[in-house]
Amino acid sequence: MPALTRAEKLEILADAAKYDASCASSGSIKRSSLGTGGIGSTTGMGICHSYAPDGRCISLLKILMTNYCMFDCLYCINRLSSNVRRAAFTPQQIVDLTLDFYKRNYIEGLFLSSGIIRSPDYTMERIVEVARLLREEHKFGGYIHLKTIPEADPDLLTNAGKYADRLSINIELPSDESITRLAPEKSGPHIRKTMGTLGQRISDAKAERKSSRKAPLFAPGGHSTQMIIGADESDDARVLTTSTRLYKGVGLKRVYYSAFSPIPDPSAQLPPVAPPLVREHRLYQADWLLRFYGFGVDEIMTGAKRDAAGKRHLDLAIDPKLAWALQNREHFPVDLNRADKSILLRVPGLGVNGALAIIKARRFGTLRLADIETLCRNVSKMLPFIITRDWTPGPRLDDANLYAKLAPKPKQLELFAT
Amino acid sequence: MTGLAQKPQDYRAYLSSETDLAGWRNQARRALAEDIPPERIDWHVEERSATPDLAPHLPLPQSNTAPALHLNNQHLTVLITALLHSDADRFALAYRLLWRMRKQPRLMGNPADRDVKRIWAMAKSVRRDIHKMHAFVRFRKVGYREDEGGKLREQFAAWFEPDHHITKHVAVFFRDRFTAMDWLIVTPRTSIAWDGQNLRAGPGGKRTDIPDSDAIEDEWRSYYRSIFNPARLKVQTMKSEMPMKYCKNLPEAEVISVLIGDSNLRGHQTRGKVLCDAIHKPLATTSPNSIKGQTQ
Ligand code: SF4
Repeated sequence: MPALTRAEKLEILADAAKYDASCASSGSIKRSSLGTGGIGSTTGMGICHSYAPDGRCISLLKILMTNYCMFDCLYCINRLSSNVRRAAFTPQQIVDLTLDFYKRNYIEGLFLSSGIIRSPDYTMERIVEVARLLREEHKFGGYIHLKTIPEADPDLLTNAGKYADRLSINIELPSDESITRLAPEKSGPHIRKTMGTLGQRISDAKAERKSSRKAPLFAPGGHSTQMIIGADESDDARVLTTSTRLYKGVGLKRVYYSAFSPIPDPSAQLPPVAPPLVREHRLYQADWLLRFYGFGVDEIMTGAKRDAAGKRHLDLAIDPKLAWALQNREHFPVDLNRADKSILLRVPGLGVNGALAIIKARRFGTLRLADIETLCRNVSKMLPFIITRDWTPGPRLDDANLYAKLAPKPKQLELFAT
Repeated sequence: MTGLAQKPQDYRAYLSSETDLAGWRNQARRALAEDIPPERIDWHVEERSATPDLAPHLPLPQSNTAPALHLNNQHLTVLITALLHSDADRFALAYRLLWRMRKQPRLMGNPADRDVKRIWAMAKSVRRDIHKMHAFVRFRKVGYREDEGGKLREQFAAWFEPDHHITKHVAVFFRDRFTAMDWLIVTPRTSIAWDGQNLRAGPGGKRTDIPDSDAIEDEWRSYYRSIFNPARLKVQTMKSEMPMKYCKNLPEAEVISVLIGDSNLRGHQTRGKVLCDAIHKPLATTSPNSIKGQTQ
């Protein structure tokens, strides 16, 4: 068989990486190439250089070093027993490709992951080698995200953190039982332990940098993970509980949710169909409520629905904040002229920016509905839940049909389910 | 700001170019010190098409007194950023705000005021344009140049069409990012270039000043084709983030019509244009969801 060209390898190895949802290039330190005379900078903000027709931002060259793998995780297209086309890049090829793309301003940097070949250590060494070449030989100042292999030697993780802006380890599934069943070579407790070590090092390095600017960096953009949704039986309550545990326990910056996509030659242990994409969307919204809106999992789940099997899932028809508000109407209406920020953030339709704008504007005088309309985008959604100088929802809020009135029409639901 | 009692614009402030921020600042200071109301000043940009002088104008008087005005950093940044907007009225609007702030020092913090709202919106639009320029400039390799030390430096060039007067402003971003290579960015009004030592600004140009392809673009297109998950089209999101005007200069635009399965568009692949039309055509499969993770 003739050797694959760089473009052919790229096709295979980008295709294999597309199930990873993460593409963030934000939240790291600021770097400039002016001082080093090299190539690459980070502004801390992250830039989307393109958008794919699936709506996702394309910010990093996201590829696998290789899609050969000695593990056999059943949900994964690259697993040992799958018969996909395989390819492998050398570290130098990845370096060249990254620089070629970067210099044309296609990307912010590299997100490198890999199937496991020979051994977890060998694979991790080569991943780190790519980052080392970029940073040391090419004075590359762009963003680097490395996927780390929890089974690899902790010293290799140390090196990875030295070069990378962000590290990640995929938790894979919401429960340890599912990991054991679907990813037999992996272990939930071990993954969490490695995440804990990473989290500790990241926060230690941050603290050291505070006292000395010369202290070495360690993944200044933090660490993240991805969870596959709908490959096992776990309900949303379970998923969000696992996320909260990770945010609190190991200092994760971000959990990504990836709706399970059925793969060729599936195992009988996997569901034959993908979960509705809107489930993934609702989980992201709920995750947002956890991180920025001061909600707890239990609160969010008061708006959930129970299915025939007793599983508790977020309502697919309406967003989780609205679902919560409808079940907790005693907290409403909220007086926008008086309520403090934490209460404003509970109003359906009102986001962080809107809440801050209201707080600012009301210092200049009592707000009327027209003022709210200039400050916020989604006022019609807020109406049943708010009071302004010239507006109260009256009995609207007690309307037993409020849910039906606020939920989108079923026709749109079909669109969601595509 | 209009009314029967309005005086004619009997003063004229002269700005040497669309980005003469120093000129604006200087004359705004003088006008404030001399207590000249906003409606009496005509802000005149010399490089714009000449407006006929119907009435004689007075230049703003010199003044040594500095007006007492305290603007916090954030508000100052908003004003300065908004001055890069393409709206012809921006210099007058910014001055009017300064003028009003003498009576209402906290005016800029009131998001419900009409002038304030407008200036914030302008600043926002400029910031977005800057951000999009950072994101969507696409360099093409032109060749090599031997530098003073005898080392080869790669040379790149790009064409871009910003909405606002931001080109000089973004030069620093590109210098700090692409220090090790020579680059040139040409826009209709201005061009900027970096040679490893100096940033330079020059006259504007045309799309045809830049090579129309780069060997790497095929690989970039294969990447773009492969990273996309056809199971989940969200064309609406893509469209809102990648407006037509930017997208037509992206090498990956060629792929998009094929990816979204619009067979009407295959066959006549005029670079960029047609393909951009493709992504701006509403599709039945478009999901109403906006960007993932946002909740309101
Ligand atoms: S180790 Fe990673 S690449 Fe290998 S089968 Fe498991 S999930 Fe897939």
